[in-house]
Order: sequence, then structure tokens, then C-alpha cells
Amino acid sequence: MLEHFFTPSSVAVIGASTNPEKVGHQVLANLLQGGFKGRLYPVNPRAEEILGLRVYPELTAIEEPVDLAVIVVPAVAVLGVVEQCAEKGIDSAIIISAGFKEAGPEGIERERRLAELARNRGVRIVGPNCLGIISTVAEKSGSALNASFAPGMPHYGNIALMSQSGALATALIDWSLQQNIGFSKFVSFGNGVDVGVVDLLRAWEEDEDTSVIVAYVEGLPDGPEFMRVAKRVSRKKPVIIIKSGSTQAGARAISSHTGSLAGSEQAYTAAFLQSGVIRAHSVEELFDFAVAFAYQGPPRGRQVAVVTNAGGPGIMATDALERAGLRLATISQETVERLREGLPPASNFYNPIDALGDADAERYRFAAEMALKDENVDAMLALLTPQSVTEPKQTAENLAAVAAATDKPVLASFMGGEAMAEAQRVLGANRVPNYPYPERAAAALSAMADYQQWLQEPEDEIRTIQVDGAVVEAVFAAARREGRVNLGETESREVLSAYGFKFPRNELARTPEEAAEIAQKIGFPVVMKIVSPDILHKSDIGGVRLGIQDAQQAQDVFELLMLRAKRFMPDADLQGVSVQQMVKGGREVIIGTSRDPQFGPVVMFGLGGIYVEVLKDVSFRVAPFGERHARKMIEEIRSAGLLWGARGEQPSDIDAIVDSLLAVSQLVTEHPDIVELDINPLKVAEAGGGAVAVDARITITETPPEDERARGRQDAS
Amino acid sequence: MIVVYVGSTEPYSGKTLTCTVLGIRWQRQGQQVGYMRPLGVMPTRIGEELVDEDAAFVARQLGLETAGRDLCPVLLSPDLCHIDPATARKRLEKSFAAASAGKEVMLLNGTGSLLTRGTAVGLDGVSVVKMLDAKAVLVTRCTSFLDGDSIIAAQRQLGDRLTGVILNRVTDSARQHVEEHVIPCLRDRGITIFGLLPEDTVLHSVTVREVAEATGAEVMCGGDGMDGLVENFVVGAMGVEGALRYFRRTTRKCVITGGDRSDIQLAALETPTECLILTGGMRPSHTVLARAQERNVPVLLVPQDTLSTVSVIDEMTGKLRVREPSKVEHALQHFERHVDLDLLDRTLGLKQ
Repeated sequence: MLEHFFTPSSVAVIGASTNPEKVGHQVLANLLQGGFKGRLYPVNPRAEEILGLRVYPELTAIEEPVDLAVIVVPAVAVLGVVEQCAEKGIDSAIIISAGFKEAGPEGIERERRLAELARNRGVRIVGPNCLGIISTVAEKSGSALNASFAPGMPHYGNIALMSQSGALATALIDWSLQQNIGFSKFVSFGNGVDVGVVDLLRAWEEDEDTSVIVAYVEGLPDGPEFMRVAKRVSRKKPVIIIKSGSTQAGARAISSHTGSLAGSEQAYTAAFLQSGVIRAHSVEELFDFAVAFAYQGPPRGRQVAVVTNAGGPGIMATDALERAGLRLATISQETVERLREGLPPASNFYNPIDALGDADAERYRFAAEMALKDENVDAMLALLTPQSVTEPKQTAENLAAVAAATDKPVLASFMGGEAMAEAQRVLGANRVPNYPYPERAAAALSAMADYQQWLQEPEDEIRTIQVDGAVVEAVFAAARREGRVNLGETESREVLSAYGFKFPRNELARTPEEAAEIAQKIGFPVVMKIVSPDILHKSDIGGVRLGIQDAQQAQDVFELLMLRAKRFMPDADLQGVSVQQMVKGGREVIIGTSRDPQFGPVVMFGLGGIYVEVLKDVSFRVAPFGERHARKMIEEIRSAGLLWGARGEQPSDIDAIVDSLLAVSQLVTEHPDIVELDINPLKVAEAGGGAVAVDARITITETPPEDERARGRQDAS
Repeated sequence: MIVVYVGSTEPYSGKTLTCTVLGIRWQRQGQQVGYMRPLGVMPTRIGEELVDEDAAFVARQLGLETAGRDLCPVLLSPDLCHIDPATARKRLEKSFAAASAGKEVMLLNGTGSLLTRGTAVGLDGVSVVKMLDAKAVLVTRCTSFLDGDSIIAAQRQLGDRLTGVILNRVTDSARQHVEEHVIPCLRDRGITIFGLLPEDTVLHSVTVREVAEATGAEVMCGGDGMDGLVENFVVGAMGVEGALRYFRRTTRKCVITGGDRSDIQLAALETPTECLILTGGMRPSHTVLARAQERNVPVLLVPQDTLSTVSVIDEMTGKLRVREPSKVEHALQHFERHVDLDLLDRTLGLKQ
């Protein structure tokens, strides 16, 4: 997949320039200096020779076949060149030129035409408005490729990096050179008119040179497809992503940058979690994680041994590990005995293992080796501070040797500057990730442990229940005929009942007398609610009354509710008052869904009342999901203890909540025209008692899903 | 000549639209139709002349060449001087003679409530009806039993000159009540009900073009989206997730927000939106503009801030009037569907 982008045997540079200041010159120079061994064809009608290469006046003048075109001509000429590529039979092109979507209305139109042309003529495109592609090794051709205008060629390594931002990419490459971090592949895909995150994930899935995939992403055009592919790829190799725009202001910046509404932060978090993607929150974290995964394998568990030559840093590391969700391993009696034999009596033989400030390289090696041999230890964090007798370089070499001899991950934090520089270089060269502070090492180790857990978890199996979809469609169609997108309570009930939800008994009363009659039939006490398609928040206008005890009260409340509604919303269309059976007892939970612009339906769960409204104690998943994630959603909220039965209360019916979450997940997946859905509250009885939806609300799109899909297709073009 | 006074017991009930619809109907039947508004309260300048805005509109729709002075002989507004009843009466008689010359039907467009408006200058609806020997048709909004009162009061004043009533803008939920209680009560008193017009989406919306004109907006992109009908106005000042939620629930809307709120703008474009008004003169990012074009949603740029924009719109929608020729045709169909116009013609004694 995308082979010609990474291992071409011949490359044409269209817009190659004689002027060393021009990008068209730099790209050619990079190809020459970057170790590309295939055929190279500069194309420029006004030059004869550049950097010693024969220049062709146009693409079609090249007699031999060309695998990859690198286009550096001004934006206005790009489409013509792509057309020529198609004629010449070139199926892969990198468009470095800017002047597209990012450059105003004309550019937007140009990009739209480019997308269309590329699709129709079967030319895959990386870019436009990008830095280019670098492959430090290319197995098949045996030559490297630097088809970019990056200021330097990165080192060889096993990290593949993709970036939506070219500018950030140049900074990263430059920094990686200083830090001695190597890459296998590097792609800046710019505006991503064709090749994007998903294509590159697929391309690198089986790439033997790549063991870690790292991405800087601003948005994902096709969330569900991303999740599908990422879920598969992340089972083969770690995928680490930094997603910018995670704050309101950041999201707004992305919106105006890309012209598409950013997906919500909750949706991204849930989507990454559900597809095994490791999320980095800063560029620093991105590389901390990347290096850890590139150099070491993930730990089998969360038990970590800390080896140190100083007490203070050892304690700091302990705090950091605990905070990062890792455990300090309990050192076995056997190991403690061995450590006693080799370390001074004042040492700490328990975790954190302190070999003391006067530890030389050999003593440190001994401590590290013993710790790693312990059955209870899954990973090690090795700390070193520069003290008077410390031998940093020798210690680093010893640690590297110990790390090489085990399959347990070893991460180091050799703290210090000048005195540690040499040691840090030794660690890097020997693939022991080193971090300036233990906190960063702990975060990386935690990401590795999470990844290992992901690898061990079985697929979340999505099961569906039999439903009568026609009922739902009929309700939606009826509402649309009346030009409504907000379903009334009765309609929402009908839809949810089709998916197995139970509701309290209720009936609509149009007069006070009817209200009394219905209440008598249902049995007191009852709940009464105003019914109007125009009033969405009934309780805000005092439109709900609980605990009505007798027929007289029912009549009075009917009039009261109607009066209030008329006073607060004189224009509202009032249909009457719903008289409902009052559900007593049980824990109130809320299930809601919202359609995310990038990932589609996202389901929310929380406990009713202040837990959602004030404490925002909620969890999210992208639908569809299976039972495992439904249970995790419940476990994730901080107030979950209340459901399990706190302070002697009976536990709630967790299974009923799980079933409800799964039913909602299925409903919003099968009916993509549901844009908002709220079941608030769902009353959950004690274990075995089931759950009843007391109130529900659904908002649908104006047009049926087929039209929506058609609109979506249009958008994509 | 048959003189028909279209009046009401309240302002903004649909008198002007009814005049337009009846005038067009009768013209199509081949009648010579004249029109005037005895008393105007909405002066507007056309050329050098001050005329009543509504009257000018109806005359244009009917293709009449009546001089502005005769179209609306007496114009009152807080800024214009008061005139004495005798002068007012003289002017009306003179203009009526001019406007009705050679006509078979003469439509008189009432102003405000026929019981009160114009009483001080002697040109209240009841007096005009008597003065010009007209037959009255009432157009009244009706939502509850209480609305019957003023109709009955009008009948007391007009007597046999009242031919019947058209109940306008009856909401779905009020319909049953009106049919079961209000109409029987009126019929018992011998009042003819010509029809019951339900609330109509098209008629009570404004077009994006009208919004643009009212706000004096620069249209950044428009196309045929300018004919879109706006029913709801929403100010986008919340966070994007709240906005998305709210916007999804509100259809046929115009979203008013700052030019720098690209997130709100995109949320609006993701949901059923007829147009975007960007305030503060801040231009949107070109990517947003491109998306708006793709979705065929007009983007209007106004120099004033959100608050003043809202008040301009508030003023416009408060006295929502049909001003678009396309809406007039729609209104005619709406009347034909819900009002027994043949009965109305017969009652007025029009030739069939």
C-alpha cells in the first residue's frame, strides 16, 4: 500500500529550481543527499541542468516510467501537472505547493477540483501544502528517500511519524536529531486531500521497519473508519496520537483552520480508548511515549521496581508511579536476601531499592539485576543522581547490559545535566529510554502498561437485540411531515419501547376532568407533566408536579400546569397534561446521546441530579459498543459506588443499566438520524428489579438518513 | 359599486394581506378593483411623497396607478401633525372619489382596531364604514373564547354592515377550542364565519432577503438561499457543544453570532439553519464561508453588535408583514383552501 510513496525506483521533481533559495531546489538537493539510489528527473522548462542532473522540459519528455512525482510548482499550475501525471501513468504524487484550502476561497475551489481530479484519474496524493515524505530505509530498493524540504535528514529508527502540520514536523525532526531519536518513515500530509491518517495507519500496519506509529492530528475526517482501522493496527503495534484543539479555544482555532467542526473532546477520548490508541497530551509526552515503546517492550503487569542511589528521588518516583496508576512491586523474600548479601547494610532492600549514594557502577548493576530477576517485578525504573563517587557512564553501560538481558522493560531517569550527559547518550544508544525526571518515566511506563492491557483484552463483542425498526421509522416520518425535529414524550416512548425500554403507565389528559379520571385509573399517587412540542425543559417552567394524591388535586394541578405554561410560553402549542404512574424508590441515572461531528453517536452515562449537572461525573463511549464497554462506563464514574451499594444500601440493578446502555447504543447506531437523545431519569431498582425510563426526549435530523448520507457524500467531494 | 371595508378589532391581524388576496382574486375574476387605506399610520417615503407603506404595497400588487395622496389621504404618526375631523373627512371623500372612479369593487384597508384607531380625527373604522356606505369583513386572530368579545362588540357597532368574520392564525392546539366554543357562540348571534385560517409557516416567516434588508447587512454569500424562510432567531453565544445541542432542536432558524465564533458558525451550518448573521463587522474565516456556500446557507455581515441586531430583528418580526410577491401567491392559496371565498363573494353581492 502506498509503496510508490516510500519505495519508488524513480522520482520526478516538477518545479525543480536552479535557485538554492527555492523549495524546488531544496527538495531535489534532499533527494540527492538523502541517499536515494533510484532514477531522479528534475522537470523545469527553463533549465538545462540542476545539481548535475539533466532537466526535462516537461513530465511527458521523460522516456522511462516514473513511480513518484514531487510537485513544487505554483498552486495555479498544480492541477495541470497532476493531469500530466495521470497521462504519464504516475499513480503517486506529493504536492508540496501551498495555495489551497488554507489560502482563501479560490484555494478552496482549487482543492475541491484537485480532489475530484485525483479520484477520477487514479492518482494518489500526499498534500497539498505539506513538507513531504522521508523514508530513512527502504527495504525493497535498499535506498533512503528524502522527498521533502525538511532542513535535515532524520536518523534511522523504528518510529513512523505522520503530521498534519508541516511546521511542527520540521521542529520535531530538528529536535530528534539533537536527541538522537530515529524514524523509519515520516509523512507530512498537509491538507490531506487524499492520503490521511487512516491510509497511513494501513500502510504502516505491516511495515517491518516500523514498530511504533506516532501522529500529530488536528481532526479526523472519517471518525468511524479511523476507529475501525486503528482498532486493528493497535493490536499489532502501538499507535500514539497527539490531538490538538482539546480545549474550547483550541477547538475554535481548529474550526477556523480546517473549516470543519471539531469533534468533542469526550468523543476523541472515548474513540481513542475504544480503539487502543495511546493519547499523548503534549509533544513532550508524544516523544516520551514513542521512545519508550520504540526501545522497550510493554510490561506484562503493573508492578514496578525502583532502583536508586538516593532516597529523595526514590520517593518521588514512588509517588509518580502510584499517581500514574502503577504499583510498587512487593520484592520477594528471596530477592531481599540476595540484596542483603550484595548491598551495604544501610541500603533499603525493599522497594524502592536504594543502593545508597556511594554506590559505584558495579553495586548499581547488582541491585538492578536482582530486582529484575524477581518474579513479582514487571518493569523497572532506574534512578541515578550524580554524587561524589557515582560513575554515571559506567553505570549507564551496566544498566544497558542488564536491560538487554531481560524482556522486562527498563526505563531510566538519570537526573542531572553536565555530569550525566555522557551517561544519557550511552543509554540512548543502547535503547534504554531515559527521562530527565521520574514523573515522565512513570507516565511512559503507565502508557505501556495500559497498552499491554489493551493487547490482552478480548474484542468488545457487539450484540444486538431484535427490534421492530418500522415503528421507529413511522414515528420519525410522522414528526417530519409536521415539520418537527423534536419528538414529544409519547413519540419518544414509542421509539424506546421498540428497543425494550419500560415506561411507567401514562395517558394524556385534555381537560381537568380527564386528568382526574386517568389518575384514578392509574392509581395514586401520580405525576403530572405539561405536554407541548415547544416546551423541552418542562421543569424549568414549573411544568412537572409529583405526588398528586387525589382526584381533586389532579384537577387543580391540570389547571395550574396549563396556566403556568401559558404564562411562561404564550406561543407554545399546549397539547394537554400527561398523567403518569409514580415510580417509587430506585436510583436515578441518566443516559444521553449526542451526534459528534467526527465520530457519530456518542453515548453518555451518569447518575441523576447533581452528579451530572453539578459534578459533571459522566462517562462517554462512541456507539456501537459491547457489554465490556457498557460495564466500564458504569465503573468509570466517580459516584459508581452508590450503584454498587454504599453504606449498607442494596446494590442497584447494574445488569439493567448495562442492557439499557446497549439498547441505546444499538438504537442510535441503527438510526443515524437521531442527533440527540436523553433518558432522564432512568429509575433503576435493586439488583434483579429492572429499570424504568421516566422521561425521554429525542431530536432527529430534518431529513431522513438516506438524504443525510447523500449530503455526507457531497461533503466529502 | 360595492365598497368592502376589511377591518379588525386589533392590529397585526392580517388586514393588509386579506385586501391583497381579495383584490387579486377579484381581478382574476375580471372585476375592476380599486383600493385605498383611509387612515395610514406607517408613513414611508416614495419619491417625494409620503405614503402608507402597506397601502403602497397592496397598490403595487394590484397594479393600481392611484396617486399616493389618494391611496392614503390621512397619514398619522407621532411625528406628523394632527388634523381636524372636518378636514380629514373632506380629504377622504375627495380621495375616495378619485380612487374608486370606474371601479366595480372598492377595497378599504382598515387600520388597527376599527373600534378605536382614528376616533380622534373621526376616521375610526365604524365611522368610515358608515361614511362610505361600505360592507365590513373582519379579520381577527383567535385563540380563545375571550377573542369573541371584541367581535361581538364590533357587530353591535356595525349592525348589518358586518358581513362576516375570517378567523386568522388559529394554532393547532387552539383549533378544537375555537371550533367547539367560539364559533357556535358567534353563530348564535348571527355572525357569519367565512373561514378559519390555521397558522402558516410560510406566511409567518420572513425570508432571508427580508432579514438582510432589515438589518442592512452585507450579503457575503447568498444565492437562492436568500429565499429561505426564517421562523426562529437564535443568538449563538454559548459553548460549541451547547450550541450544537440547541441548534439541532431548532429548525428554520437564523443564527446571530460574532464573526470570530467560527465554532458556532460551523455548528449552525451542521444543523437546520437558513442563514447566519455575523455581527460586529467581523468577517468569517474563508473556510467557514466555503462551507456555507457548499450548504447554500447565506452569510450576512452586519456592522452593529449582537444586541442592536437582535432589536432590529425584534422590531421586524413583531409586525410581521407579507412583503414578498411569492408569499402573496402562497397566501391566496392558503385563503382558498381554508376560507369559503364564494360565500364571501355572495354575501358581499359580487357578480359571480
